[in-house]
Amino acid sequence: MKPSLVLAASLLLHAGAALAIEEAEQRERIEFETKKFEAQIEHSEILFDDPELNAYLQEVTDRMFPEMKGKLRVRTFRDPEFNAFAVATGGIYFNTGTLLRLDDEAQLASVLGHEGTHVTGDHMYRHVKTAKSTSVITLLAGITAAGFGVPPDLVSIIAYSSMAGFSRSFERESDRGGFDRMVAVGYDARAGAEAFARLERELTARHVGQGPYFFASHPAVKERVETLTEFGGESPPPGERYVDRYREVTLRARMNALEQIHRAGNGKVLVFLLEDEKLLGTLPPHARFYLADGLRLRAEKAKKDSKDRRSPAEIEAQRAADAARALEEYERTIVESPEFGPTWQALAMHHYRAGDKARALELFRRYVERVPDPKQSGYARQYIEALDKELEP
Amino acid sequence: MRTLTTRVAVLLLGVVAAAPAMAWKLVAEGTPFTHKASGYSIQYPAGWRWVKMPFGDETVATRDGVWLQQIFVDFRKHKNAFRALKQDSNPEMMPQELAEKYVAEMTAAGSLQGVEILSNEPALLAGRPAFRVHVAYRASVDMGSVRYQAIIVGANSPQGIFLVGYDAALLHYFKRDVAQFETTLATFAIADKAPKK
Repeated sequence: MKPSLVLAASLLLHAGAALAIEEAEQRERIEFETKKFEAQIEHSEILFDDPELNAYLQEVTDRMFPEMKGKLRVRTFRDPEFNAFAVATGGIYFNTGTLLRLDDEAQLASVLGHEGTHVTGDHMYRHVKTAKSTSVITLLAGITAAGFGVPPDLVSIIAYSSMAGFSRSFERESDRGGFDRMVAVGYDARAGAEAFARLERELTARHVGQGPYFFASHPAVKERVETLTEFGGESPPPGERYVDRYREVTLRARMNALEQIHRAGNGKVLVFLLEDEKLLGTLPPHARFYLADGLRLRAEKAKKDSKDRRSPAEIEAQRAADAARALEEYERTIVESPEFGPTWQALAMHHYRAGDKARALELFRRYVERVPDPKQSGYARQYIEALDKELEP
Repeated sequence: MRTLTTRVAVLLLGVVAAAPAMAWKLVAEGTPFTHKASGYSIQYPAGWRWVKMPFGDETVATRDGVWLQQIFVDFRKHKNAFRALKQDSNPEMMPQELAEKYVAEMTAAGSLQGVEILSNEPALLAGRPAFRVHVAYRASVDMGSVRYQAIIVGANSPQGIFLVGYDAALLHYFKRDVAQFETTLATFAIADKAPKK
């Protein structure tokens, strides 16, 4: 079932109920639903299990919200998209995909500050309370629209979290509150605008008008970039970035997100993030394989979609360029990270398809040397056997 | 992805039971089902119930219910074979490439959570070169995060892709019926003549 339909039904129930109950009961209800959600996810496998990362995220949060120590709790979801949200009980949930797209601790702090302010501002309750005076139809339409693209895991909590799509005043309040807190503890004031500018570029590259996640009903991303830039003033005070610490602690989570994007075959996003946004330099050498494979996948999928304004000739030119670049990047990965097995197999497949069977055979052999498990290297073994016979003198 | 779609579709079939052609039928020994349009035949386990889906060229059989365990056969024409990826397949694609696209589709569709490849190996399906992937995934949090495993065997043909799969809840069901799946898989055949469409 489409998440939007589930949301609509869920919200209808929530909105109807909201008309008839008092504040204490409403708060109890929100708390009950939120705790139920949090208990469910604790027992699922959606949380990214990395105690060092959890401790780090908590430390950054506690630094900005010292009065909320022990009340704000940060956890990470295994999800390659850009999303973060807060719930009324103080939980802040961060996607591995968000960590992948941030450059440093200051950018991380900007998102954590925004979400933490939703909690300290009591936005979850105030939002539900406001809904009492909103017509059910309007509310349904807004949330239903917001529901497109919401992961199934989060459908039950959307109405009681910061993903619900708060009013512009709440969002601006959180932008302001988050900004003030991060600057107060010494982070670079430009970081928030930078993080959201990258998101804006990604939405453009993916031909998405407005994000199907996190910002779906937030003010437009462009407006947020402008707001955060405005907060910093003409010459924002420089501050701390903590780039190395951020990269080190978040590495496992960022690689997990990258692998998920790769598994889903999304070449366009791989190339955008690793090459256009230059994230490759923040990752280990073997991450270049994902750029090479991203170029290959993008070349394979070169088709004009409805929002693509390029001509067929331009698309074909990019396809050819992507295919050539993929080969270059595979070759470079082998030089820079020869121990990483998948590159050898990908390159072997390239030469096999191109008809250079002797080279393919050599590369399949190199792959099997690195990945001896037959459950992982079965295809390569099959190719070796067939090519050995075919190329026998 | 197809597993959730199938389950929802099967549920709807149950609700719209007025259509006799869509009714579940009991599988009898020695009565293989032949899908004339695509040319495949299969002997589902005796005593199970099976149904032909009202859309596409897919059949599903189950003993305890599709949410617990099921064996399915799906024939996809090359055009738009991987819907979630908005991609076609083609007769030249090798099993390994089909497997990559199939897993990408499962992951990209978004309705299956935490898709993990346990193995991905070459195999034969009705004597044709095929892929065999074993994956683990779980239902969404709302659905109790129930853990499933699935084995899918797929082969290419000039007309499209043949997929034979087994999908079951990990707790109790998966191991119990995996041997039954292997027996069923061995009965799968593809007619030599080209499918009608």
